Parts: sequence; structure tokens; C-alpha cells
Amino acid sequence: MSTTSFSVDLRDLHFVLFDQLAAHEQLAAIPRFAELDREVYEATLAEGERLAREVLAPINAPGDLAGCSFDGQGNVTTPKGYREAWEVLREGGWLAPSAPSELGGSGLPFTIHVSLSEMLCGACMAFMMYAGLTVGAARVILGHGPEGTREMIARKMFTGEWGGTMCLTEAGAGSSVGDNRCRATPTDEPGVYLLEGEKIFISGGDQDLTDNIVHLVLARTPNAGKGTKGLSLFMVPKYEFDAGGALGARNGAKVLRIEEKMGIHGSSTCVLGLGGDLPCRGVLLGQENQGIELMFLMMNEARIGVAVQGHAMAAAAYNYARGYAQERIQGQSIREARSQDAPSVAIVQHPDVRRMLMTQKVYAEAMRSLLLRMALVVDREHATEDPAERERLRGRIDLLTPILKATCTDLGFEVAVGAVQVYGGYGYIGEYPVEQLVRDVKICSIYEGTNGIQAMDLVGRKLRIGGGALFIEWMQEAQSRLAAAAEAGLGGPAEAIGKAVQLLAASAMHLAGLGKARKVEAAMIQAVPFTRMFGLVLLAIECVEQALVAARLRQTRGDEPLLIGKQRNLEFFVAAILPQAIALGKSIQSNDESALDPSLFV
Amino acid sequence: MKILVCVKRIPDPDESLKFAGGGLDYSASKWVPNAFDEYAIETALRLAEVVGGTQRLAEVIVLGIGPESQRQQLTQFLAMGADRGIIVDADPDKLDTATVSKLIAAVFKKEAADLLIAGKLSQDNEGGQVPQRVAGLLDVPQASFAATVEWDQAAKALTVGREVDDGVEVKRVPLPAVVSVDLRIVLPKSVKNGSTPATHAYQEGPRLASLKGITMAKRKPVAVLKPSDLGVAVGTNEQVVGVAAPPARKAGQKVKTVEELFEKLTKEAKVI
Ligand SMILES: Cc1cc2nc3c(=O)[nH]c(=O)nc-3n(C[C@H](O)[C@H](O)[C@H](O)COP(=O)(O)OP(=O)(O)OC[C@H]3O[C@@H](n4cnc5c(N)ncnc54)[C@H](O)[C@@H]3O)c2cc1C
Repeated sequence: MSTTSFSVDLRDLHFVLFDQLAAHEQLAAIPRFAELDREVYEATLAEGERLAREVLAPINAPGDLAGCSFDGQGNVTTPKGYREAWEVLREGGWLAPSAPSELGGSGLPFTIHVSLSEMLCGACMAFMMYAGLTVGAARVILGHGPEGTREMIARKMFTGEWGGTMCLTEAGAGSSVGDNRCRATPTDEPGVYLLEGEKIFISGGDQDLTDNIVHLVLARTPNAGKGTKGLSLFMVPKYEFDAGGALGARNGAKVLRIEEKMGIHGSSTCVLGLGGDLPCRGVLLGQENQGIELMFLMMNEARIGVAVQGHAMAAAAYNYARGYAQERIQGQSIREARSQDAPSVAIVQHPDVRRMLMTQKVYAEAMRSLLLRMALVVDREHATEDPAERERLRGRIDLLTPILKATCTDLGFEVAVGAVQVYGGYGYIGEYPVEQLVRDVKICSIYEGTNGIQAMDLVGRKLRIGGGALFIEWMQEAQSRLAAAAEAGLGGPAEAIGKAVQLLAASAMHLAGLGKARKVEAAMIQAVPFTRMFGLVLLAIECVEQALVAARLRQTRGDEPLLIGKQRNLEFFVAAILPQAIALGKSIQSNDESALDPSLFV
Repeated sequence: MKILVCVKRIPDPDESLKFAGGGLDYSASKWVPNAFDEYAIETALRLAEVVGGTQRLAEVIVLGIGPESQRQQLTQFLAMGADRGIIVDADPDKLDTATVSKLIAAVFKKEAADLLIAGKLSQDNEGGQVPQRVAGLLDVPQASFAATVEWDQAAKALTVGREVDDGVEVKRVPLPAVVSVDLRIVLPKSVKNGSTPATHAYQEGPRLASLKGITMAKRKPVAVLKPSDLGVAVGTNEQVVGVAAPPARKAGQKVKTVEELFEKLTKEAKVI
């Protein structure tokens, strides 16, 4: 492995999907996927890995350097190589792997989509954002677009002929979506409105990859109420089109400027003017005032998608760091510190470098396991015909999504920073790949709801649903999983993690108590620490589960490094990372309110 | 027209080798198709497909010799676009080159194929014998190490450019024939089938399978034959005596002056 070549942990993906989760068996029970099997999945992953390595990884660094350009007339040019890569993904059906095949998707499970996303985002996150947003927008249109044309539009988007965007943010309305001010005025034509206003930070607001772009825009109709409940969702195309999809006149949604920014330079971040020099026509989706509800329908999957980005960058960073540590020769082994002429060794021999790599490995592998487990729940939730089962699965997705989003994106950043540290000075230098990962992944903790907003969603909403029912159900399952691990011989770690689960429950109770006592601010100070603690506990449980599977496999497959590694992951997590969760539990219950002192930050 | 393409599964040449018990340890190997076989399937598909249309000029059949259960590389070629597969269920470790060649020739005859396209060698043991042997067994013309292929449909013949030591040799071979391909066959303009515009530039390298191709591959027919069905007795006249890692390189010498270097090169190493 060379220092600068992108690589994917295909073996670990196989381990998680097939050995640990038996995803192929679970998915085979879903009628839509009955014809697919492990062989198809393995072939898909193998080809996806090639696509990532051969098509996307080569455009990542050059795209970062060149960035997008803007002609001042509303047109964005993406970096060199993006158009060709888009064609390759388009032709091969890789843009919308889990969209229905009747509509131009590839009909694969979400679980496989997530596995592919890890590779493709890891290879070039900025590029894959165009695909991710297009597919997300297409799903909303498929569900709520104009009857008669919704399938035609969705097909054009799933096949990458047209692009899509999500337009929520305005200068005065970021985290607080309810402060949206864009106006939508009805016209004589039923369902058609004229939009006026300005959206900012719109990813893919313009690009040169597709013939048309369909923006999904949140705006307020004339007599609508305040806040999110008064928002409606509109489909605003760049070019008007007829029922057959033939393009017509330019519509009045136009990019006014693109942002210079820290990372993801290949992804255009646009100020989108609505109704400036041309009238901007939008078609209402669903009913008036239903906008936020429709957005929420795809919110969980979009947030899981961002969690996957965070993890993808962590996995890429770890792989780079591991490769580099094997090649970089520097210093002597500490065991031979006294010898004058001890040979210089690869830095992977140094304990501190191994500690850094271990941290990165554990996080990357445990996040992979956590995300794929979640993806399977999403697949089952989509498929089930049993309303009670659907309710239960949806509850689990609702509870865990903000935790996954916040944890995987924060850790994605930490792992990328850790990889820079492994590289030393070379990590800080543009010639090597890891500094770009740090800059690129940082956005993940900010967009799609900042991690602070995720934490508030968890503590303020999700924990309170049904009087804590979602949490209690999760906890019971966690405890039975830990009991099973203890029974199978992992009593020590299972007990340690069980204590952290108890402390997590106590912390949740504590926050609920603060809420009841109307000390909402004191509770919300702890929202992010609580989310982090919850995330660490989730990862710990993945480690114990993986170690269990690995121990079983070692009986037949012998001491493969991957399997030994799972045992070590668990040991390391319990010894070095779990104590952080315990410490967080203590601080959450500390009743510290110092930050709330109004005499500070003045 | 029927084109037969061979695929061999080999341990990933990019991974480092492990030795155990006087031989190679493949227990943790990642298996991949031989790269030259990937060039072969790409060549076959470029000959068979008409770019911009749906018409197929040839049926492409993939042949793998090995245990029935290990067909992932064959499936991969089906996913790339081959029409159907044939597996000859045999333990490849117990077959020598002569037997493998006999099996391929027998399948070629059974199918009444018009063209065998094979990689010029397999990257694991680099024997480089099979296509030539098959041509001999079939008594048909061959062109080895092809860098370009042009198909004259009317004349039922191929014009093959072969890169040889002193330039490019151009050979015209009537079908049926055997062609073995080299790396350059997958350059954008190396293959012309007489129907796709001659100016068309293919994406360089063996194509990626489409997701649809991958899911469809399972539904394509794959026939499983035994060597006995083909009238070929399995066996080998080769014997592996031992496999060992090459000796580690000895440390070099540091010289102080150019004169000293010259001295050593002429007197000690006797290379100049
Ligand atoms: C590169 C990039 C791409 C983007 N792509 C898109 C896109 O495609 N579509 C789109 O609509 N938007 C997009 N955004 C916008 C993004 O979603 C917002 O930036 C984000 O939601 C935060 O809003 P803000 O920037 O206004 O920050 P603010 O809302 O001002 O937040 C600033 C800080 O205050 C905190 N905060 C704010 N409100 C609260 C509160 N009530 N309680 C506690 N803390 C709070 C936040 O957590 C944050 O730490 C993109 C942004 C960037 C930078």
C-alpha cells in the first residue's frame, strides 16, 4: 500500500454485513430483495470499491485545489473530471443504488447503499454530495410531486439526467428554519406560485453535471402563520419542462454567488436568488403549510447520510494513516533506546503511533458496524407490513438518528485530525491526502442540523416521546445483548459497558428531572455531552458484539488478523474510551451551571 | 459469431505473499480475476457490442475452470456484459497447463466457437502457454500478445496488431482463431468491430460493471461441466518441489569516490 493511495476496508465490510449482521439473510426475507444474495452484494461491493479507487479518488485532490468556478451569470463550473465521473456513475446506475429499479434506480437495499456510500464518499465526498442531494430531492418528489409527472421527474433525477437541491437556509434562518422569510404568492394556475427571496449555502445550487436542476424550496404563503408550521414546500426547476420532460424557458431561480470555504471545494455552495431578474415559478408539493412535515419525511435518511459521510472520512483517514505509518522510517525502537547503532524503524513501531492508530481503528470499525445496523433497521422499516413492527422500528430510527449524526461526524473529524498527527508535518502539507479530509469532514457536524441541534432534538424531543419509551426499549435491548455477551464469555467487558448503560439511564433521568423542575437551560447545557455519551455507549456495544462474532469465527477460520483485531478493539475501547463515557455521565449529573452566568461572554 | 473468453481466479497480485509449510499460504488471500483476462473480456465485449445501439454482433461466453462454488470472477465477467458462462468443475491445483489447454479446446469445439480470446498470461505463475497450446490442439490460426484487433465481418477475419521486440507486426487471421491479448488492447481505440464507428474512443481499461449488470448477472445461464463430460482426463505432469521467498537482499557497499566505483564495477562486478 502506498502512502497516498485511497483504500477501502472491504474485508471489514464483509465481516460486518455477512458475519456479524447476516444482512444477506435478513434482507432475503424482504420480498423486494428476495432475488438478491450474498454473491450479488459481494460483487456490488467489489465493483464499488473499484469505482471509488479508479474513478473518484483521482478527482478528489485536484477538485479540492481547483474548486468550483462561477461566471457571474448564474452558471457554476465544477472541477475538471467531475463531469466525466458523473457520466461513469450515471451509466453504471451508481447514483441512486437504492432507488426503485422501475424508476431508474438500482433497486438495492439501503444497507448496500450505505456500504457503497462509505467507499464513494471516502474517495470524494464533495463530488458525492451532488448525488446525495439529487436522490434525496427525488424521493420527496416521488412521494409528493405533481401527479402525472412525479415519476418522470424522479426517474430523470435517479438516473442523474437532472440534479436536485434542498433549499432551507436563509441568512436569517439557519438552525431556526422557522424564521424562513421567502415568500410564495399563488398565481391563477392551480398549484403554481411565484417565489421571491434569497436562499444561501445551497449545495449544488448550480453545476454543469446535469441538464436541469430541481430545487426544493421552503417558503411562506401569504396568510401563513409564523414558525415552521407556516412553511410550504415548492418544486422550483432551473428550466421549465413539459409533461414529457422536454426543457423549456429558464426559470427565475438563479445563483448570485458561490462561497469560498474551508473544504469540499468541489461542491458548489450557492446563494440562490428567487425571482430576481425573472419571475420564479414553483409548484406546491403536498398542501400549503405542510412543508416542514414533508422535509421531515426524508430528514432521518438525510441525517444518516451525513453520519455516513463522517464515518467514510474517518475510514479513509485511518487507512491512509495506517499505510503511512508502515512506510515512514523515523527513530529507533524504544526497546533499543540505549544502542547507538540500532536501525531506524517505521513509525508504526512506536507505542504512541500505535495508540493513535488503535483509536482510529476502533472508531472507524465500530461506527461502520453501528451505521450498517441502523441501515438494516431502515430497510426493515420500509419493508414491513405490520403496523406495530413499523412503529417500533421507526421509533428506534427516530431515537438513534441524532446520536449517529452527531457522533459519527464529530468522530469523523477527530479521526481525520488524528491521521494528520500520525503523518506529522507531512499531514499538514497539501501534498498528502489527510489535511483535505480534515477540512472536508468539518462541514458534517454543521449542516443537516448542527450537532448542537441534534443534541437538543435527542434530549428535548426523542427522550421525551412516550415518557421515555423509546429510550427504555433501547435500554432493555442493550441489556439483553450485553447479557448474551456475558454468557458467551465476555463477562468482564459486558459488565463494564452495562455500568455505562446504567449511568446513561441515570443521566437521562437527571436531565428529565431538570426539565420537570423547569431548569431547561441547565438541562440543555448537557445535551451535547449526553449525546456524546450515548454515542460512545452505542459504539461500545458494537465492539462487544463484534468481539463475540470474531471469537466464534476464530474456531473455524483460525487467528486471522481481522478477528484478533476485534478482540483487541473491545479491550481497547473498554480500557481507554469507555471511561470517557463514565466521566461524561458524572459531569452531566454535576448540576454545574457556570456557563449560564449572565456576566460571562459580554 | 461466438466468442469464448477464459477467466482465471488468482490471489491479488497487489498483496504480499505469505509462505507456510514450504509453499504459498493462500488462506487469507483476496481472489481477483487475472488482469489479462479482464482485458480479454473487454476486447470481446467491444467486438460484440455496437456502441449507441442494442444490437449484438456476437455471443460472449465466459469459461472458468475451477470449483463450482468459486465462481465470483466468472460472475463478475457476466456482470460486465458477457451473455452466459461455463464452469468446468475441477481442482485447478491438480491441473497442469496441458490439461487446462485440453479442457479449453474441448469447450471451444463443443460450443463450435469462432474465436477464443485469452489473456497473454496469468499473473500468478506467468506461464504464458495456454492460448498457444489451445490453438495447436484446435489446429486453428493464432495471434498472440494482441495490442489491436480489427474485425472484418464480411471476410470473417481479424487483423491483429502484435507488439513484438522490433515493432508492430500486423497479422491477418481467418476465423476460427485464437487471440491472446496484451495490456494495450484496452486503450481507447484498440478494438474495432466494423459496426461501431471507427472513431469511437472507449473508456480506457476494462469496463466497470453497472449495478444493473451485477444484479442481472445472477440470472444469466451458467452451465457446469465435468472434465469427463469433455472427454478430458484430469491430472498433471507438473510437480511443485518447493516454494520459498527469494533471499533477502544483502546490504550494499558505500564507495567514497567515482574512481572506486569504477574500479569495483570493472574488477569485482565485471559489468563494464
Ligand atoms: C458548505 C455548506 C453547505 C450547506 N448546504 C446546505 C444546503 O444544501 N441546503 C440548505 O438549506 N442549507 C445548507 N447549508 C446550511 C446549513 O445547514 C446551516 O449552516 C446550518 O443549519 C447552521 O445554520 P447557520 O449557519 O445559520 O448557523 P446558526 O443557526 O447561526 O448557528 C450558529 C451556532 O449556534 C447554535 N445554535 C443555533 N440555534 C440554536 C439553538 N436554538 N439552541 C442551541 N444552539 C443553537 C448552532 O448549533 C451553532 O453552533 C450548508 C452550509 C454550508 C456551510
